[in-house]
Amino acid sequence: MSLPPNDPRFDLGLTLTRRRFFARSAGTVGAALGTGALAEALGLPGAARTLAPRARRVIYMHMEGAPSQLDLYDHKPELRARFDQDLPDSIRQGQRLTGMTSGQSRFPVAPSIFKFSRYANRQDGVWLSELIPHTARLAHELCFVHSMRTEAINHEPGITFFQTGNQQPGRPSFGAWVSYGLGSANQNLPSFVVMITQGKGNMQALAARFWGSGFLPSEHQGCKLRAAGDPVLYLKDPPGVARPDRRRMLDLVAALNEREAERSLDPEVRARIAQAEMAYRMQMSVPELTDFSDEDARTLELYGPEVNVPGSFAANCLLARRLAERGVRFIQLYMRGWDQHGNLPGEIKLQCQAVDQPQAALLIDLKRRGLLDETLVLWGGEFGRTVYSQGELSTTNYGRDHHPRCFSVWMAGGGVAPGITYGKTDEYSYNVVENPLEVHDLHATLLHLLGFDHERLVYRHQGRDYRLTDVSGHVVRELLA
Amino acid sequence: MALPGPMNLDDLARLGRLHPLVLHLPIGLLLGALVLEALAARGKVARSALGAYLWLAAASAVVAASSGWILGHEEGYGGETLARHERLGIALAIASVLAALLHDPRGRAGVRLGLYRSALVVACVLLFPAGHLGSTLTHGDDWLDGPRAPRPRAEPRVEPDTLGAGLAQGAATGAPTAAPVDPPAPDATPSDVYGETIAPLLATYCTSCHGAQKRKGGLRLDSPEAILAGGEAGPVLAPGDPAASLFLVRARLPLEHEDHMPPEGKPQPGAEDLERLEAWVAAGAPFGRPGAGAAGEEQAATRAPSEPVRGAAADPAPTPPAEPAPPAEALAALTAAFVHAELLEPGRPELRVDVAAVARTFGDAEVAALLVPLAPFVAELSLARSAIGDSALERLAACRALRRLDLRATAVTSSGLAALARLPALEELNLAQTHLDEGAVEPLLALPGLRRLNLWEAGLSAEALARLRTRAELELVTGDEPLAEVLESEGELAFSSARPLPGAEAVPEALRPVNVTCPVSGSPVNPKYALVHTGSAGPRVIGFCCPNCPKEFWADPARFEDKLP
Repeated sequence: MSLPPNDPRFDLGLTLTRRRFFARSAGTVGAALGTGALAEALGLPGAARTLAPRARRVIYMHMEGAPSQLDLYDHKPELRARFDQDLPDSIRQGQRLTGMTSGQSRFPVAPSIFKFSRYANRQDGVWLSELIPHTARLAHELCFVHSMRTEAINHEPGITFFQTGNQQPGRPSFGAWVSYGLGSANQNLPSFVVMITQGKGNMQALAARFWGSGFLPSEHQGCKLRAAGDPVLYLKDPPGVARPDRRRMLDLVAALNEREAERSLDPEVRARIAQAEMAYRMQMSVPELTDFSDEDARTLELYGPEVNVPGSFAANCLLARRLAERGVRFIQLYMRGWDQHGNLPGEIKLQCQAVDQPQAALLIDLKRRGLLDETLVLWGGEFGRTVYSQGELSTTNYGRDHHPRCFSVWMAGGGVAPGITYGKTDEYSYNVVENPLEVHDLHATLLHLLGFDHERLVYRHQGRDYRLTDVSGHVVRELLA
Repeated sequence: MALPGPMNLDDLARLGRLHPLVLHLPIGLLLGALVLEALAARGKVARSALGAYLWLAAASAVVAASSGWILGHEEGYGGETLARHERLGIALAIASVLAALLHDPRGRAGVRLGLYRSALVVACVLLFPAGHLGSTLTHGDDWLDGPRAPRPRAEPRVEPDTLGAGLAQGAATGAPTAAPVDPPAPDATPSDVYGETIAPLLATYCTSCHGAQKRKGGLRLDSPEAILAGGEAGPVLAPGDPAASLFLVRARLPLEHEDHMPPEGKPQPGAEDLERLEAWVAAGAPFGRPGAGAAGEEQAATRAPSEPVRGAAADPAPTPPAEPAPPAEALAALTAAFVHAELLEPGRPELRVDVAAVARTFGDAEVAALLVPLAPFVAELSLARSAIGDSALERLAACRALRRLDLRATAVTSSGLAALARLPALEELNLAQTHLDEGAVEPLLALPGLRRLNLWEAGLSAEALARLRTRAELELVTGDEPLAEVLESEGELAFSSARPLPGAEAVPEALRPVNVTCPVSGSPVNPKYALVHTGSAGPRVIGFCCPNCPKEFWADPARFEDKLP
């Protein structure tokens, strides 16, 4: 097979260590070795998988700031009759509150001012808000969980918990675990990519460690694509550096690093070699990825008017589809600005306008390209919002504080049961009354769909085995197709 | 460590090998000299005879010391124990030479007699620590109180190349494997790598301290169960991951490192030995035979015909039929070309192959060169967005196990689809965004096992799709699937964002803000928060979203001028 000289595969041949190449070429292997060993003996990725996978990749849309389940998904029409009544103590049960509302003299019930409709799904329909008309029309594909729970009550630990399975920083993120477990399916792109959309309202800090690799080898950390300018910083060669020069420089550095790796046995040295090679290949693959000129007009139209605005949720959703069809394992979209402590009705409308059509378009686009079956889509915030108003309650305006005791997320594709709802909350959407789903359970279930036993996808660090689900987590069979 | 220059001669090396023999002479002679001196002091032995005897002892001590020095530098020993043994040996030789020199045949009392006797006693005393250290070097720490049975001496029987082929494994890849649940059962069948290579290596370098008699650190390395059990520091073996296997990691540490194993002064495994161990761990540390399939046969075939397979006669049972596995060369070529391959599910030799990373340059020639060699093992294949055409479909006929085929956005045509009829297992076919015509209907209807077919934007007319829909068991995706119906909607709400509650105070027209979004935050305006501002456009009512924004506005109204209509 002859390759054009600018083909990145040319260069890979130079850096594949000979030892590894010959070892791989050395005859055939019997399959009598244990689970996982076959993939490893064949030199294939994914040796940590112990189950037949239903999903090959994940698209995780994290709504940073925590969207209100009451105004989007968790329909409580009877609350309208309780407008401005005090939240009963029997419901609140003395639960801790954030410092933002713990000083409030009363907790007046704020029903949603948005109209809900019942959409056909594969059960007896699901009530969804007028804020998300496009997404609602895909109800037959979506799996709604109304009984999500978390331990954290503030954004920082809340997001950290969702992303890493632990409230304290330092553990590898979900995407890093998936990258570590599945390996890459496209050697020209990172296996974990992160994109961020700035929100329309109150935005919380977004730390890069939410997509960090913790103690996993650092090539598994998420690679952030920037919205403006170069998608990846410092990827372009500086003026005057030709590509062959860059190649020679990388070869020399890799040779030095290889010696250091053999001396110190530090896996981070090899991670550094791998990342430099990845960056070199991304010099070719990223510009091709982010160039929408090969998308037809109908597809662009599907994602809505903002699709050509770099960094918009629409543009990021389209990029997510392009990454999915290129085999990237974990694609994470952050949408900021859901932290609506005040002026919720106005802000949530703008947020929903930004995400509704693009996310629906992404699902439709994946579906018709035959990718939705093997792509696990997850949508959710780090917690929910309170039924009582934070600050002044009026007939047109209210705010909602953080609420970890119940909230809604949805999933689609990748072996998730389509068109169902799971779990129930009480009449105030304050406590879970049926089928609570903990964060560890969600992680365990998603890992299951990716082919992992969450108790066996482990990494030894500081003398013990760590896992995403820590010491907890159950696979919830009802959520599986 | 080789000596430089003429010292490296074979003769000298041979002298070094004599050390274990020669060293016993000074022991006997010096102790004998001590006894003779005691007798001579009482006049029972002639001193003239004792003098010759002392010279004999001194000479033997010198030969023993120098042969030991050569041996120590030749055999790759090292460390503190050796250095101390060496120093003591040399001191001993010097003391015996001094004793011989100082001995006075006439035995006159005086300083010289005292010095002579001291030298002799010193030489005899030195015998004990020097001898002990020498034994430690040769027989291990436990030579004195350890096991009485002789330890087996390892002679690895498998050549490194053959071993490599048998395991088909390279260096540590760091790729994750599932945490082990059940260790493979030990199985000492004739051609197992563990029994033939690994166990003897461990017996040579490790089990004198980590064995049945002496379990240093609670660790034994003399049986599969014991190796898997690990020691006080936890597991020492991580099958498949040399970098996580403590015993290998510690053996790889620099010799001077505190945690290096075997400890300084003990015989050290060579680089080749370590590579054997590493290859074995990387292959999943099998304790039985490695894959009784093609690898085993190939390994057997590479042996010289005259070399009998040990224990072959004792194991006449036929080997079970080999589980087929994809040829590693073909897989290596595939992954080297950046084509992704993974197992469809763990433990089964069925591949999912995806050319996404190189789709634009992946054409018919690549299908022939890279995919056809793996054809029987490919169960899922994505050629989406690739440069293939109809002739690739002809070549895919060899994929007898192919169940899912993705040809989305390729140049395949209706006439090429006929070749798909030769894929007996095909269940799912994606032809979205292709340029087909009516001629595609017949070949598609002819696919007996087809359950799922994607024809979104494939150029087929409504009539053609209708003909395909006659196949009841065929799920057809055309991209115009209906959206979820609205079953019911809530009536007008008593209050909503669109309609204020009846009776709510209407805003007088004159006080209506000129803007709909807050100039400071960009959020929608709440009419409650409005103020009159006289700017370049004259006096106007300006709305804000909250009580905080007007403060910021007042601080510098000119800044927000262009945010207003």
